[in-house]
Amino acid sequence: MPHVTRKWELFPGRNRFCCDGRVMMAPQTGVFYVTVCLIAGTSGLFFAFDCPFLAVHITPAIPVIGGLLFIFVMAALFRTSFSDPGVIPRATPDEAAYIEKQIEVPNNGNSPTYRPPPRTKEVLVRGQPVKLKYCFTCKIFRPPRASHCSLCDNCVERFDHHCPWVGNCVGRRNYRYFYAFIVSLAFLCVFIFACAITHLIMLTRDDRPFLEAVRLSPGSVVVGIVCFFSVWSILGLAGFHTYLTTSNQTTNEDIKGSFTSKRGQESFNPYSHGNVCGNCFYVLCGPAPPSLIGNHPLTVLAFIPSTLNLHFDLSLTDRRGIVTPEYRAEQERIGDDNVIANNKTYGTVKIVQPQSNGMGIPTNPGGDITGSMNNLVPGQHSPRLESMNGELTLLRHPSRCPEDLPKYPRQYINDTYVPKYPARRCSQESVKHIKYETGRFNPDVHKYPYMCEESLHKYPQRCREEYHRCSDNNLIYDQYVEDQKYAIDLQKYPQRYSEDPLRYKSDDPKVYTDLQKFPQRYSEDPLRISHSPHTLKYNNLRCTDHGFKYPITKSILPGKILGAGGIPIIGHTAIGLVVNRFGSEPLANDLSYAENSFCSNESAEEDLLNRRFIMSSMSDNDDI
Amino acid sequence: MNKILHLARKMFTINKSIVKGNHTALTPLEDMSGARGQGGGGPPQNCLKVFIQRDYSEGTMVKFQTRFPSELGDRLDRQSFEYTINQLNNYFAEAERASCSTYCEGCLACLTAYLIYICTDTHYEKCLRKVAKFVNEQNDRVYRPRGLLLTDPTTRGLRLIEISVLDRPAS
Repeated sequence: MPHVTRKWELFPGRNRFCCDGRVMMAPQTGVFYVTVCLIAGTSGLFFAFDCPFLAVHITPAIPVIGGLLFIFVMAALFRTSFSDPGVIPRATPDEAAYIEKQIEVPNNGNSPTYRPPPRTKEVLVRGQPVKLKYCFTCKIFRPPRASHCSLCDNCVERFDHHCPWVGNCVGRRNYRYFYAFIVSLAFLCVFIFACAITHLIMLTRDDRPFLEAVRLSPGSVVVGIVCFFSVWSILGLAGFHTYLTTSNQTTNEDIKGSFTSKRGQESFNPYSHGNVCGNCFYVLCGPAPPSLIGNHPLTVLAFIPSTLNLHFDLSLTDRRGIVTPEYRAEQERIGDDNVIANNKTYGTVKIVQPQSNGMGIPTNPGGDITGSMNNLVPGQHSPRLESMNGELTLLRHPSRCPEDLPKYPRQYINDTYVPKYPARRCSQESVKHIKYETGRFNPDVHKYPYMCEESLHKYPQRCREEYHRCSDNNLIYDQYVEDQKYAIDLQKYPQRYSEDPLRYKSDDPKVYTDLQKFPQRYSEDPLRISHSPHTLKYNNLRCTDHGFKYPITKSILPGKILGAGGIPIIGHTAIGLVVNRFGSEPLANDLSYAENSFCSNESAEEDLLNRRFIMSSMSDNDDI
Repeated sequence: MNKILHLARKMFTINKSIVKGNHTALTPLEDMSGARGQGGGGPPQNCLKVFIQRDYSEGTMVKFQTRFPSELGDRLDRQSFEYTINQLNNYFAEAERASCSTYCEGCLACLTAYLIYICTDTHYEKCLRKVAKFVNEQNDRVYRPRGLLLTDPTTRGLRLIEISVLDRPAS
């Protein structure tokens, strides 16, 4: 199964991900393990030393309550540590550019001192002015209550604090888990402490010295000491967070004193629901906001291949799932850091050298393929090849592609790799034909080298070399001449072609169907009549509508061989030439292509042919 | 899985028929964009984009500004734009509403030590699904025929709504 890149793998923050993106933590998690060990160790000692005694002498409810509390604490702790605290995804380049443009201060006159635009924006939240700060890393104006965590390098919604003990930020999404953790831990701590003290007291009841009790139950002493020291801080923290919850504040806001009246200005908390209960309920049991960075690969929909082009809930799928090429390109553009509009740098943002290609060329996922196959001009991107990528799975795995191709030509051409392509797509682009055709066509290609050795071995190489030398496409017209020469060769060896019944069966009715279909054309053309039936097949490839205006080579030429801006794409040429000479043959078998299939304005069919030729030429040429 | 696939196929055919129905109105470019759509993973790059920002006037709940952007003046009438935004705002208001059922859900989750979230979607996520569906429907009915594309705000972190003008290059 091919590796599927998921969005969390491209996540720009410093977070650590485990379990295929299900678990998200801060970069440093050492203290988190200390917390886990401390809680689990203390509870373990409690269950080992105190519980058996207390269950017998007081009530069996004690281990049950302890167990339930322990499970709840651990569940809440893991939930806090492993979930997304409410990270706000970074701005897309377009959005960043838009914001930069919005806040830009018109530089009136040619004043030498450049005034940086304001870095804050003030909005009114329920009549209370709130400053929104611009985040240089995320390239957004942080929403109210959000803050950037320098450790995780993310903006976090309703940021509370970064808690090393739980190994994560505490924000909007996991505050309730954090609060549940703190409160339940406080209960657990008090409970264990009380139980350990009770145990020790009961042991010393029968006039036993204290040291004797310690010797009998050393675990209780350790548990008692640990709990004694931790219970105060935990209780304090639980109380503090209870206060924050009831007033719907965050630690961050409380420390900064955001809502305290200062300098005579009346200030209140605009986010509060007014009463204590409302705040508590909303914070702890209110609607649970979703994760916005899409690090949960759990949704089943995510496994539908993107090639299906579904118009169904895909944005949601997208949010949590597989990285599409577009998403990757977008991400890479974000990573570029040249999103600064007008080559200006603002405020304290790091200085970026202005680049000529300001926005950068969106990286095409098929780029490395084209690079490995032929000497494309960098950044130049041929639409033909892209459409081929869409069809050929093997091309998606460039490491496999060029070397393995000659080895397993059938595998790729027959349906082994095809199942990836849904039938729907095939029917849309009528690719079915192609696959069917190549299956038949390919064996013939293998036969060919042995049959007409001189021509085959000579020509493709020569063509390629010559094309390297002179990038002029006129060369192909020479090839056309040689095509005709070859056609004569065919006549020379008629018996060989009769070995290949599929194509050269003289009694193949289809070959003559063409003739019957266009009798007037052939009769009009004295040149063609003088040729053998093989030559006639070649002539069939001409566009019936345009006749002589578009001989084979010419119509192949413009779209395929010339890249953007008229720069020839070398690898394509080689293919094109092979196409000219040999690939065109089986067309005569299929009426649908025998008609104007090479007409330059029938781009779809041309595309199909092109693809098939590339496939066939790859399978018998090692050096492509 | 099968059920979802089936549903997906159904949606696909429905959308296809919608697109076909409007086919006469589509220029080749729009046709192409329709095929790429959001299915390809997002709107195309390097085209003009209009951003509808969040409205924080009533707190941090998700709400978008309904001010009509002038860039869309020649493409879209104010009513359909406002309808879209208001409808989205309603969906989000519904998602974040402090109703009894969400409180029950929250309390239940708390009682099960938040393990219930492993098996069920939250109310909020269900609402987001509705939003995604609504965005798709609006795209097919209103935006795509006019050469525009609405992006689901969830893919932009609920910060803004992105409207791409497909056939106009980025300024």
